[in-house]
Amino acid sequence: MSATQMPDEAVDVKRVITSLEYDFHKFELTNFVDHIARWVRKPIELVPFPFTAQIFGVWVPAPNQNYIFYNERVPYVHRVHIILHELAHILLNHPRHKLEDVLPPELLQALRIEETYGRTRTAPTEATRLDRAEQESEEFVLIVQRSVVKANLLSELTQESSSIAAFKPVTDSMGYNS
Amino acid sequence: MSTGKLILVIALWLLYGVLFLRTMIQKRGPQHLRLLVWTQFFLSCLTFTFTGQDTEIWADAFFDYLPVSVYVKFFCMIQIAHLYHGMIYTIKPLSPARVQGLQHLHRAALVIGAVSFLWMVISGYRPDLSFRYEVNAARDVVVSLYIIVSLLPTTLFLRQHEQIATMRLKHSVSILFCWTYLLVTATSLISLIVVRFKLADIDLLLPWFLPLTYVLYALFLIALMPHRWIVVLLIPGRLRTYWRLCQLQRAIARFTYVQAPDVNHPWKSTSLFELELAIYQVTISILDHIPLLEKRAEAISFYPALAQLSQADLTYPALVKELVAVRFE
Repeated sequence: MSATQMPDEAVDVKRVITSLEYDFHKFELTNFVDHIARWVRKPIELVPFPFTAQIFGVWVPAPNQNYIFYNERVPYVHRVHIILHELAHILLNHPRHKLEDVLPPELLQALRIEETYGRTRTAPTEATRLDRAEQESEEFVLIVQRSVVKANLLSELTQESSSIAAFKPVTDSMGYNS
Repeated sequence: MSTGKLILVIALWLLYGVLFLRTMIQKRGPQHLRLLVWTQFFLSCLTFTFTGQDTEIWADAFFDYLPVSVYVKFFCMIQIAHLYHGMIYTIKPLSPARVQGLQHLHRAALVIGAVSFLWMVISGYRPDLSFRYEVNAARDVVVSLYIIVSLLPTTLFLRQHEQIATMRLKHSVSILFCWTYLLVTATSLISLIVVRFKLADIDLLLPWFLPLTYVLYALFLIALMPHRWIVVLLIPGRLRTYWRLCQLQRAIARFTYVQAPDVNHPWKSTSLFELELAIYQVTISILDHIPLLEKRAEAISFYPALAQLSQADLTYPALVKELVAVRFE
């Protein structure tokens, strides 16, 4: 793997997501990751890592595997966002940069990654705001989340009547979720 | 019965009928529970039908002024409380002594009610108007005991543990219902004392007491509404959450000098979905920017709280709640 260039033309992120033919009503992170892995025909492994607070996630494409390292200390909702962002880089085949001192050499050695090229998601700067690949990834996450929120919201507000298992049969019988 | 009341009664029966049919067609929940729940709703309909002194007199006239209406309400309301208690007391288990105590109370109330009514039927005795206050007070005391011992503690427990916003709202309404019922019981007891000891003209007090009963019916009706009908009630609270998060986002942007990402402001849309999405976007933006505050001395007053949240293992609703509570002014 080596550094790559961003293509001149902007990607229609919405069209890419539509082409995935993924049912967001059944959205579950690992299931979505598997779907993308099948789509790009390369396994994706999610690796929790104790990054510093400034680094959120890293995508490292190895020859036979894509690795997504994510900051294991952040709240779940942020973690999902970070992973989706890195998935977008994979799916949209964004250019990779040489990664310096982001991951410890012994970990890379264990994973048999010789040269670390990839992308890092960090706390935003003006540079990331202007980076088209970063913007496309954020757009991807937003569209995915829009679909998920829509599906989840409907499920939460109209299909699930109560989160308390012992009380749910009672509220279902009342027709609260109809 | 007045025309207005008659329209209200018909509307209520129609509404309950439609909701009942929908539930039956959709086969939601176990069948025995469905029947149990809807028995309670229809008993409440029956109670409402016989509410009001005019209605009682009008209805009792069909039975040669036997106090049928007060007895119908007596049995219906005690039965509603008993059936609901039976459905929920295992969720937050009550002590066996309390369960047994309520069972004894239920049996005693039904037996005394049935025996006194049969005695009136057989003997032909017709009590005076003060009798209705005695029956209503007895009924309300029994129902209040159910509320205090079982229904209110269980509903408070459910309210505390419920994650679904609309259901939590309904539990809040149920809690309000319980407290209102306790007030109604107090008015029933006051009415009984006033009538029994001829302390004042009860007709002067009723206009103050009766509205409480209608508040009870309104609360009961809200508790019955399907979730998607009452979702709109959540919008003000969620707008406040969104507004507060935007303020926090702006405060962070002031210190980090990094422009926050554009968000589709939900007030351009009336959809709760857009609002939820906007709350999500702002939350992520805040989480993304928190590390940038670390070296900003100006943010020292609120950075530690935010840093802690950005590394906390919290659910999304809990995280949003905590972020909203952060003081940054």
